[in-house]
Amino acid sequence: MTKAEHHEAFSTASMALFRIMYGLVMSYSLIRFMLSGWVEELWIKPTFFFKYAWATWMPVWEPTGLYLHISITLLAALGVTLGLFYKASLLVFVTSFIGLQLFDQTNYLNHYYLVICLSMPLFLSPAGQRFSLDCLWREKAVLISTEAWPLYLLRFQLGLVYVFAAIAKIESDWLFYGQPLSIWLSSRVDLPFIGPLFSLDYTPLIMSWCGFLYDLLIVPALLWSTTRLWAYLVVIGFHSMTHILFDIGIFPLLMTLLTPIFFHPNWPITLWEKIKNMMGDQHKDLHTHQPMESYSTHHFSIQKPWLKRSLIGFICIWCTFHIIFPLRTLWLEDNVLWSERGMRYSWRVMLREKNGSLTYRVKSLSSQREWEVNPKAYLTPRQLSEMSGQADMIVQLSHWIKQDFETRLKQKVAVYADIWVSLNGRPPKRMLNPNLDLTQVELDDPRLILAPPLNPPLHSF
Amino acid sequence: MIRSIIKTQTAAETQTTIETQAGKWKNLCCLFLLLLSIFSCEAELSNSNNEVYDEGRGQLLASIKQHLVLPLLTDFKIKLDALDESITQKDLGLSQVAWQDVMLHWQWLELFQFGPAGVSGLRIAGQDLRDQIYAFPLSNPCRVEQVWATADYEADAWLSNAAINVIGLDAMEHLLFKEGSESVCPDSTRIIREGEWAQFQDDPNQVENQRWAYLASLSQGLQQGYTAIHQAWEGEFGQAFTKASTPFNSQREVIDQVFAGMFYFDEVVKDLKLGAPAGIYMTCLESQCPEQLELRSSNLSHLALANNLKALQALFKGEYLLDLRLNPEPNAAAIPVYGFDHLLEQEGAAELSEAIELHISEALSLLDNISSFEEALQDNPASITALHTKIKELCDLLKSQFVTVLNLSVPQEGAGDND
Repeated sequence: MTKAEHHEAFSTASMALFRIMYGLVMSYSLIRFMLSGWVEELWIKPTFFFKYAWATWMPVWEPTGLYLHISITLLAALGVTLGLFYKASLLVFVTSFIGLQLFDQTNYLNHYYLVICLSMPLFLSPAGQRFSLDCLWREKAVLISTEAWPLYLLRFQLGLVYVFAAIAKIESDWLFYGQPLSIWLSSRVDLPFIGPLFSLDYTPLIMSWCGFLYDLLIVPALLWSTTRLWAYLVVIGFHSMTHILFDIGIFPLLMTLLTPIFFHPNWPITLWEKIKNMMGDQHKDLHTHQPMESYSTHHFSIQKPWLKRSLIGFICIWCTFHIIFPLRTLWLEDNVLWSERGMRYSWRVMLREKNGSLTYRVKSLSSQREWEVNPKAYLTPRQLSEMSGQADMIVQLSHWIKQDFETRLKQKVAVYADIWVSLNGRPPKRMLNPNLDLTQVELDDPRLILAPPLNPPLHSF
Repeated sequence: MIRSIIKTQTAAETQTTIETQAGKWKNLCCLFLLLLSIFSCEAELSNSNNEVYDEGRGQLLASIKQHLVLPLLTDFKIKLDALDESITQKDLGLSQVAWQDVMLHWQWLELFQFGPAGVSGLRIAGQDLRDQIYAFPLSNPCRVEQVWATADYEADAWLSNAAINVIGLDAMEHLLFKEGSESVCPDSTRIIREGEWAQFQDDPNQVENQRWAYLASLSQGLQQGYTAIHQAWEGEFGQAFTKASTPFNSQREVIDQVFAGMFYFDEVVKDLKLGAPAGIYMTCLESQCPEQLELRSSNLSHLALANNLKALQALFKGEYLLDLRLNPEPNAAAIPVYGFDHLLEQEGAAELSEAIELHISEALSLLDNISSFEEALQDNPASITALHTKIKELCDLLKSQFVTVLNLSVPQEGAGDND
């Protein structure tokens, strides 16, 4: 391989563009957050916040602090986009973004987890030393080519989402009954053009299988140059459809704009050249223009052996973790959709339509008097909707209710929950043991979560 | 900077590559443009559905408007006029009967707290008009007595500026059913502390005159509230409701609003009308709290709840039955009757529909055995608990399977994204 061929084969161009898209989408997301009034809805209005068990210490700032926090996150995202103080910007961005996620567990989204996961390969990669202000203004060396691993690591991280999303779909509701797609599509039949299709009996099942096959095959199809362009066309179609049908925020945009990392690493350069040539100035450009970065172009590689060894070790651990951790549900003898154990951080995206009716019962231990408590009294409607089918959050709120009642009544109380949950259209079934004092129970207590429903979901065929 | 590339490629090589791959790259450019246009047009797409594609949902919305809301409002107006007339005649007995008629009829409409009757900022096209008609659970007889004694209602534009707990049907209830001259206000309130109430009660003629003047003012407010709601339903809002057009983005959004109205059963009927007085709900820390009963003075609590249930039943059946109507509207006959039961059947959940209707019927049967909530609380509290349990089961169905099957959004959960 000649030096030029090598440079083209592992060009840093696609990685740099990946960085720009990542930063842009996150900047857009944060601006959208502020303009939509979600800062107030999600973090100012609530009086109670659900904490991750491993981050109960995380405080929620006062409004000024919150806006300051988000502004810093936004500035850092812009820094990533522009490649200005790239590594510092990425570090600030991901730290403050994790902070935002830790405020309230209610707001967990798989694609926010993806954003956090992607930051590590981005940090290790030379994505900040191409098409960046660091190179232009701070005269950092332009890295036009790289060793292969940073590119493969980014592809690995992104590809995991698709692969595990396919694995998660291997279950009867999705593959045999077309649920929950059937429920979701039936309420979107008023959409122009495509809406009437959704009312056909077999459409949800066909779409479920298409979704499964898409997740399963899209990574190999993107990696193979023969199918790559068509595969990307499918990516655009798929994510456009999910964007139109579901409220999944930036996820479709993020995936559509990041997926070209599977293309040839030099594709942005090649595309730019083609565009210029199509515009008719190829001769002028090709013969007269000298590359702007030609004053200091370098190849990215780790020279120090100890650093290389450490890095290889770290990457092995990182990848092993990201393969094994989402599979932890295989070791749990649970229906994940019902118990939600292992639901987070395992790329189980849009897999269930689940709604619960939750009432707490507070019992005075001295008088045995019992009261019903509507969790709405403590939560915002969004928090209520998110927590109504999730055992860990129901238990968490029970501690708060206990504290509230013991303060008001000046006596010890026990807190129980009546929770009826409908999963994918099934008749409601009791989810938690109503006779357990939730304030005295551990989350892994086998008595806590009752057996999942065994009957098939709602289906129309 | 982007020009800084492929230093070693010759122009000739590049030219060859360009020719062989030009089509491919052209396609890629088109894909990007397509992507951009899809993401930017999506909002417009969902807004442009002037045509209703889902016949079932379209029929449901048309039926709710034509066979439920408009006929209910028409009868409300007839009853409101009778109340107005009785107040003009200053006939207490007649006014009490007319008020009961209006109040119980309004209990049907309590379930329709969306659109103009809904809370502004929480409901699409909400104008807070329900609060002009009825304020429960914010009713405040003491505040009513303050206005009564001080004749505040005489002030210019008083109706538009008054707090919701001194106007509407619940204020009227206190004026029409209050017995004796004792005030319900605590001693610390100004009218008691400064002797205004005692002084006011010293002159029975003044008490009566101000009662009727206040009632006339309230009646005028009810007429205004009715007119505003009726005009909205007959006009732009009603059209938007059936066509799912602006301010709605989709039929789904309209049905979400109807569902938000149904939450009245969970938050008001179950918790406040039954749970709190019976000492079951958290707002009552005593053994019972009969003072939290709705319509306690007029002793209509049980009948009010029965009409709430009948309204829910009507939403499932799709109509306010003709034999209940004072003024059947012949024009609406062309629109087929279509309720949530039909929609659930369309979605393959007929069993759920049957279960909900069974719960409503059973709750109504339990109510038949209760002649007064206040008496039942004293003599047979188990009957109230049984009714509460039945309503809770009904709410559990609505908040779990019903929401799931119809893919409804629980009111106000909209902030943020999902995945």
